[in-house]
Amino acid sequence: MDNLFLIFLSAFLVNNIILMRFLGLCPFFGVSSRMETAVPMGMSVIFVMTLSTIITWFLYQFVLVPLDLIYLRTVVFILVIASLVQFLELFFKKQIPALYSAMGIFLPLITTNCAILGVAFLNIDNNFGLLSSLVFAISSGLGFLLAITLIGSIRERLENAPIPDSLKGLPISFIAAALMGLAFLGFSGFMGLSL
Amino acid sequence: MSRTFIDGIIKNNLILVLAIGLCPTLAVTTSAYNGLGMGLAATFVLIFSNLIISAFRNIIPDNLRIPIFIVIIATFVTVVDYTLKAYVPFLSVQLGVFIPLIVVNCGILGRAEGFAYDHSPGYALMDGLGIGLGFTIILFVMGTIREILGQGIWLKIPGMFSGFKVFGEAFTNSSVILMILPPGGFLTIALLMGIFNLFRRK
Amino acid sequence: MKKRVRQVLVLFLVGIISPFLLSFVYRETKPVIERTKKEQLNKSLQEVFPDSLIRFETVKNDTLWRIYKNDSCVGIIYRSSKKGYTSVIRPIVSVDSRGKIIRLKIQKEGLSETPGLGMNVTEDWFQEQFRGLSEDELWLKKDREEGKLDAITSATISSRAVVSAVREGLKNFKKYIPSSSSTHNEWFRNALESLLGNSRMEVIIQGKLWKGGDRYIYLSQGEGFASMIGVLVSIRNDTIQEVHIQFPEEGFCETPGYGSRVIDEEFDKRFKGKAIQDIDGIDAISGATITSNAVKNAIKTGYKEFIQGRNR
Repeated sequence: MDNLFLIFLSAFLVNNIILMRFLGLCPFFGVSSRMETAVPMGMSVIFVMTLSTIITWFLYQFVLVPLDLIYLRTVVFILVIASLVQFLELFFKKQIPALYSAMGIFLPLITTNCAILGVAFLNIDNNFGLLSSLVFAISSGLGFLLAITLIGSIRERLENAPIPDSLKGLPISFIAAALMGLAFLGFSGFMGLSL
Repeated sequence: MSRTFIDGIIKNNLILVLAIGLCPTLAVTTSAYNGLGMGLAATFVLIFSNLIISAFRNIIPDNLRIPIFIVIIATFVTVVDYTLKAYVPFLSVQLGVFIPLIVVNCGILGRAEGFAYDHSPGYALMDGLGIGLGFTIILFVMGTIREILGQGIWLKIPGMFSGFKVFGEAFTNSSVILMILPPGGFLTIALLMGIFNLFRRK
Repeated sequence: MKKRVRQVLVLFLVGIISPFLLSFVYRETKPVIERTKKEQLNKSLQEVFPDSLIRFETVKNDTLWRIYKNDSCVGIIYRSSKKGYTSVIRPIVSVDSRGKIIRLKIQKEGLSETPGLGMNVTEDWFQEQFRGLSEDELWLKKDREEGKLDAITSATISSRAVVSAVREGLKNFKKYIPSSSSTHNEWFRNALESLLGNSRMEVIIQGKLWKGGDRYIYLSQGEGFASMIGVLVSIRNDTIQEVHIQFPEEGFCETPGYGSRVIDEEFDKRFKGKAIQDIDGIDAISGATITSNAVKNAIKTGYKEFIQGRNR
């Protein structure tokens, strides 16, 4: 139990997937200019990350390892994630239109979100069991949501701020992210945490 | 054809212009050597996936192209992954999960889809070279800035070369450690992009 | 229809070629990857116990080895791990037969602590300060009073991780160290019998001091070059009658050709008939000064203990 809580804290704050691990930066800067896109993107990431973690974990432990096919890991994982996202998109469109209108346009973007694949790899590299992997995935997703919400609200304010022309847009967002990262650095060593 | 090459470096620069492939750019550039290694690994994948996709562009069915691209790219990524593990183990450990993650570097899939799929292999090769070089240069420059400011040395190759001492001993002992921590990555890329924008505007 | 067939065919081909190519790459690189791993391991083992005349024997794969020298076990090497600040820190540690650290080396592979801070655990001064420490001294000075280790400035977490990795490893693996007391129990028994001959033996201090007739026999130890050296001294009226220095097969493991000359050149004969106060005047064996002095010191300290023990 203790261990799971530490995994949660570590993935959520100390080793925040975006600010500390640099995974999933494309959607982080791509859709964070407004809050109304940032939050649903974060939600979709949590959702897909959790599902893909369950699937890739079982695939790895019960198919790739027993058959000695670990060298197909990258190929298999990315295919699984891509098909999962496609499937979810179709499924939501047909069955749950409400969810589709909330997450739909973000789903295709998620295929090439390295956070999803990265978390799948990290689970294996860290030798996590199923439960730990799940906790790790969910808390990484929550960390993503936290970071993207924070930067979304900062960027909304930045729009009206007097910024040098050459720094407008992405560069100033990077600087904002750097300052956020500095604040998050303060969490490291928190409860002796590190991963 | 040389136009394609130059465009790949500057006009279509993955990081500065398209802001794609940011994750490895920020994560591994704590030293110039790591940046160079990452850049070359991505370039290798880019060149070969571009070549193969362009060579077989008439056979690949339109509606199945994306999964096929993904498999091709993932295959070359795995080749790079294992080759690095075998022959440059230290670099492989340093780059860690970011080597297999080249597969989701949107830049590579983007070039496959946007360029290689409707150009002949010659052009696709030049595009791969140009884009790869543009990517590598930025990674190398970022690594250089961060390594020099953060550690006071340049081009340290672990186990082989201890790096040029750029500043004196006093600096090396109390360097700007922030630059090799994650926020330093964001600051460096903000700086590079700002400078690039300044010149592009003129 | 034709289109369908083509699609299936292409997918099929891609699905065949890709795994085929990858299995080829995997087969080609796997032995290389394993070989580099093995080479690195051997290199790191030798770094923590730099001596060409030794042999390592794996006790637990990848975590525990015994060091053998002249077929006697002189210590262990273990690998332990602990989460540092941003990565896992894996020190390789060699321990001598007394359970004291000889040397440690933190593996740089897989280590990604903060450069300039936590990464400094790989610096020599930090690793050097572990030398000669025993389990209860393996704490940071700021954490425990008995601690003897300095942390790296502003990298306490990484430093603490190294220290606890070393300490916990020692705690776990210490039972594999060929315990010096048990080897003594083995070796001196025979020597004692031969020294006493037919006379009746009376134990004054268990495992330390015996009395046979008008002779006393005591057991003592001196710190040699690579191990503790045991001596058994038979004494009568403050004059040394006979000295038995531990043999290699009894756990004496000084460097052959140097420290072992103490045995080869029968150093023990030089003590015969000498009074305790004259011991300092006995010439050391050339090329084995440290070991010779260890024997002399063992005799002297043992004598002091013997006086105390006798007067009790």
